[in-house]
Amino acid sequence: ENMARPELIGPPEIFYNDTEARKYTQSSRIMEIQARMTERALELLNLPKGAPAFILDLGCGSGLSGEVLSEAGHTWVGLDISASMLEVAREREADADLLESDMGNGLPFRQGMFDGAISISAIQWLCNADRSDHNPRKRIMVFFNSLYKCLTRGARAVFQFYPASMEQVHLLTHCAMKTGFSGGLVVDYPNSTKAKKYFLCLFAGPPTQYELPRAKTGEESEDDDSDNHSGGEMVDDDDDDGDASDADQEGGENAAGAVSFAGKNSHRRRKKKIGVKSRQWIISKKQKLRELGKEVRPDSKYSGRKRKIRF
Amino acid sequence: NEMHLLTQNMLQCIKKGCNKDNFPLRISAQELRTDEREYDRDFVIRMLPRIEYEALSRSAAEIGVALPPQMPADAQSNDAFLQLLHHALMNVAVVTGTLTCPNCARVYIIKNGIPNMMPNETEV
Repeated sequence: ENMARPELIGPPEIFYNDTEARKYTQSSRIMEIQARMTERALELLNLPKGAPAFILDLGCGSGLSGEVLSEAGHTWVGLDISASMLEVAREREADADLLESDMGNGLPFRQGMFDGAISISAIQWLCNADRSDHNPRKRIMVFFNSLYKCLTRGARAVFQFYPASMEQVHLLTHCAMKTGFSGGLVVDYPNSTKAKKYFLCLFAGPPTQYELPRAKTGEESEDDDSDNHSGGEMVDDDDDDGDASDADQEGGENAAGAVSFAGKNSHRRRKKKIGVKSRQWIISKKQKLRELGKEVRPDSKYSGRKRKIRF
Repeated sequence: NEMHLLTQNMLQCIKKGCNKDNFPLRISAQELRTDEREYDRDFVIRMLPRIEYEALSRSAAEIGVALPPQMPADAQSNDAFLQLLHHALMNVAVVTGTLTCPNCARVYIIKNGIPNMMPNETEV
């Protein structure tokens, strides 16, 4: 597949210029796909039924995803980095408050404001360094940190995205986990190149209460959609067997293509032991003694090095 | 899609290092509009515990919208108050104006109803 990834062409606020933004109101194909992905994201949010919720749309663009939220009876706030896209959203009379904002700089909200957050095809932009002073990992951490804070406890955030590589998926899940989210990756239609969709599902709250939704494979019957809460791998807080730290790294995987992980508070983290008399051990020992005010030889390339075997 | 007081009530300054007393952003409006959103009682009640009421009533006063200075004790069941609150939160909209951080005095511009919360070159 040689189609260029838009993230590689330029930063989002420049790529989504007036011409590009127009496409989102004129191409019925784009609109149809966006709407379907939003419906799925909303389903994965698993909001309490019948209650109007307050939702954050991250990278709301021209407001296509927001329309689905409005139709479902929710109130939403949209945020986007591209002024052109927001202008289109305004012209289309999106029924929401809009903000021009850069997720990578942190969200400008107080604590515990939103019942949930969705994001359609936006988060992969964060993995790019568009300016020399951008550090993707740092920006992702700042973003997840601020997102965790502005969600109510027990709320979810669902990100549909197009990962460029598995490293990107790992980077995102790892950062989300470090900021306290639990959750996992749901891959719909994992066996189809065209229909395959990635959803990063995050949960802001105690991980024992979280069950990862089941991915779609295309084989389930229509009414199966309603109980997407029954399947999925669950990460258990009281996991006492030795594999706990492995699950921490890799996550479990269920048959339908969902991978789960747990937040930083869910496992008693097992630190990797440092070998006794290894260079690292010696240096840390010397540091400790230095802190106690003892006289210690300076660290050099010879510190902790094995002597040659001599006759 | 103009900025309503509900949004203003959750916004805080994003400037690096400005973490204290960075809420509420002081509002000043050149152009206001009033929407006709339908009163949704359930939603207003749901938002009640999340609203900083004192900040809201002060901000409302800044743009000429009257709210009682204290939230009534029976707010949850006081329909007249809830309707008033709904109007202030969801219907009064700022089209053009500014938001100013009470701590660092950083000014955010609201144009076409959209506040610009982007950091400038020196703020990242």
